[in-house]
Amino acid sequence: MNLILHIVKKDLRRFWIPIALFALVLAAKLLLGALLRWQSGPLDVDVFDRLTLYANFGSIAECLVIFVLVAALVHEDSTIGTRAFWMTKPVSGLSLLAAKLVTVLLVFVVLPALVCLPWWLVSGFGLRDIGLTIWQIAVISGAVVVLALPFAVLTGTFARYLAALLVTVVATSVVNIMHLAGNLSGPATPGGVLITRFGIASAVVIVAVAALVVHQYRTRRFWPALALFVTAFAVTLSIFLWWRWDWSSTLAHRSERNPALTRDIALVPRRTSVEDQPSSLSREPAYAIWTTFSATGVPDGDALRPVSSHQSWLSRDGTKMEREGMFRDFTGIDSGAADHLLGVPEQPPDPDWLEFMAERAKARGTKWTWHSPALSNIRTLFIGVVPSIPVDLVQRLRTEPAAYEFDGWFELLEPTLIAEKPLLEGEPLAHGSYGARIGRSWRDEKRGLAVSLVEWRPAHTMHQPTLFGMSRATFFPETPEDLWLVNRSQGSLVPVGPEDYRRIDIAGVSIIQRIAYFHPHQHWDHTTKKWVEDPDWSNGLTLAKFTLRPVATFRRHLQVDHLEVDASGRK
Amino acid sequence: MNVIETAQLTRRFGATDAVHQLDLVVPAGSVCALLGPNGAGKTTTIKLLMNLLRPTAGAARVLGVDSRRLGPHEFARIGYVSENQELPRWMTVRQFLDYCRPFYPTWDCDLESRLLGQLALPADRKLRHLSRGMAMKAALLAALAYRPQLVVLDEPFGGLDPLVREEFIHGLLEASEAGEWTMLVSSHDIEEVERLADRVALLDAGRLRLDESTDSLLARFRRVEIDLHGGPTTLGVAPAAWLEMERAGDRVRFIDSNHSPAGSESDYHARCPSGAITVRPMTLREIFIALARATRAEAKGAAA
Repeated sequence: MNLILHIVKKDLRRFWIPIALFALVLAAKLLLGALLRWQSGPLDVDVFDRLTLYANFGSIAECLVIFVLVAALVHEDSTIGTRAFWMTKPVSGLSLLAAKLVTVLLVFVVLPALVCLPWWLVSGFGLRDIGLTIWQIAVISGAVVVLALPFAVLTGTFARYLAALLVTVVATSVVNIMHLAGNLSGPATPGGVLITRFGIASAVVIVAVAALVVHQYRTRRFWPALALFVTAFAVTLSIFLWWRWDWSSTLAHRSERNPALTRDIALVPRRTSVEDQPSSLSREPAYAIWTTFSATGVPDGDALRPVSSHQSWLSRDGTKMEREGMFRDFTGIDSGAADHLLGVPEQPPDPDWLEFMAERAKARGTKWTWHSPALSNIRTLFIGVVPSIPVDLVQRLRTEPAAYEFDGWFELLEPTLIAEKPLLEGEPLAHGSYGARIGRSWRDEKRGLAVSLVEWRPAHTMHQPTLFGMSRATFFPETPEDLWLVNRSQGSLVPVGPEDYRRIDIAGVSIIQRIAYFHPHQHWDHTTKKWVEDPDWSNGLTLAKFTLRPVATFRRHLQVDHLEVDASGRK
Repeated sequence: MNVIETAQLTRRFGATDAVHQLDLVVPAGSVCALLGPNGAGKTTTIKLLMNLLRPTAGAARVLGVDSRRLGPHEFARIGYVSENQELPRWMTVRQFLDYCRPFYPTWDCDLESRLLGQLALPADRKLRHLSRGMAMKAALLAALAYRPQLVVLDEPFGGLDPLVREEFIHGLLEASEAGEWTMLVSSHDIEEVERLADRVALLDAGRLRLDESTDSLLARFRRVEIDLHGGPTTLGVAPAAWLEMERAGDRVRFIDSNHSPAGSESDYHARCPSGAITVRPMTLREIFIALARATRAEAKGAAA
């Protein structure tokens, strides 16, 4: 151990300048974060975007520094050739590897943690947030290190390292382009398959890199290591391009948690229709099956969140269609929690509005029906979607009810009201590390009242929507939160939506700037036959903030022998 | 006991045998010079011995351990200096020694200080700012200060100017007085090696041409010149041990590679009774050249 630390000390001394530069890049990002975090009001959108760009440059610079430093660290005691100083010294290859990994841990995890600690503390992070953020840093840095390591141990010089990287990038691009060119007219790859590919390819990469690095440090035999690298590369690329099975539910395997809380929750199928698939989802005409469920027995005030699902259809002629998925094809529409918590009763639809909608539909020659919740205890609706079903199946499903099976995982969320504040500039809505401040509010000609908000919270609590849009496939624990605009005098609630939403992640803190819109309350003027704005519609408006803490995880299975498909589905 | 033993050690690079079926023995306490022209396989042999390369066939044992299994325990007893070795050039000499010290439980700080003075190394200068010779001396210091049982020097004199070379050898000789070690030195600088080695192994084209003690070798080789003075000769067919034989007028010159003070001179007299015979000892360098020429001549003959 002493020798390992001795080598670590040597490497830290050797690379103190690039390490200091790395710390400076981190510190520069923190300065940017401080600027955003303590801004007096919401920044101009352009300024925010520009700062986001700088922060992204900082993140890219961090990745580049990791890529360069990992190579330099490995090349300092190279495993290639016969000239390295350590090879004839009383230190084993595995001890040297251990020393390098300790250095990587110190430089890319401990150092950022130390640099960012004051930033986290002033952002209200607790021990748990700090621990999870360090874990997040370790995972992200670890991913870059895992990608850099095989190239570093297989090359003895930086020039060869860059050349090897370039060759791999070019080879990957060429194979990818060739694959795309051959599949231009094919259907889009389902999200669950993409997630499966990513999961399996990641596992292959991690195992192969570990095997390659250990092998190289133990034996220093280049050719077997290169053969292992090429094989792993080919397997990974093949998985990324050609894997066809959706194991996303298996990969996201969960076990039930707190089953006593969810014992009474049941799923009831409500309506199934076959509809045109939106053109953005497919490159050729296709149809999708939409099945709506309601959940009964949800404890008062709690909310449900769908996690993953498996659906299967068995038509009378024996054709089976299965769908495994975590996003797009399984979404939830939640209502009720906010009403309950805020004590604002759920409002029945405005009869004038119902009449207006019906008349408008009639004028267009279409039919419009308000699907009102049939039971008062229905609080949650879910929609299971099976996209890209074969065209010939559409007609059969519409005329002959098929057997249907649904197997899904859910989370029960317990909302907590953090604060409800009047719309005054600078009004804080802080809750530990979940900070928010109300900015300006102004009248927007088209969208009513606009309220700007600046929020900050640990990045580990955010969804990670950037990875193939997999908003359900989060890698870190999260505590979702909700913001609602409330008008108690009129009994109306509006969730703060994702419009004008801007987010920037700086050293484990997500800084969000968004604008919430609250549409003016209107009534139908029978004399002028127009919608008229209520004069005092914005009086007494407040902003309420919740957190939604997952308290239970459960699974539900549903089997229907003959599921009727609504023939009136839009075409 | 032999510190180094190889048996049919072979290393092939493509179609070329860099080392071919080498059977080499280095007894404990000896200083063995591994000689040979450029490309003879000296460095490859040392790399095989140090587990820097793996043999294609055959095996080597170093300090009683298979060379392929040399590990930290053995390297703690081996001092290796090579002109090809990459040194941490960003360190000062002192930092370099500080870095090396914890690797060796037997590190002798007094010896380190003494060698530092003897080799006239500037302790606070970075290795990259040292000349090649000075850097080699620093490497030598780091390889000797823990009193290794085996010192392996691969071409340590290459590119050194005469003064530094002298200092380097002087340092080696002084250090050798401080410890009981076995040394293997590869070089094509024969004069320097001659002062150090008590045993010589000659490699050529990857093959071992000879492996014996320096004394025996120097005793065995003689340059012989016979002035016939017009008298009769019965030289007849020259023995195979006579190398580079040439005749110019009344003079016959050759190198006897199997000379013995008693037997050889009576043989010369028997063949040239009236000739004046001059027998001169040879330097290691001359022997080396003679053997190299003989090898090439053999190779040419075989090719023809």
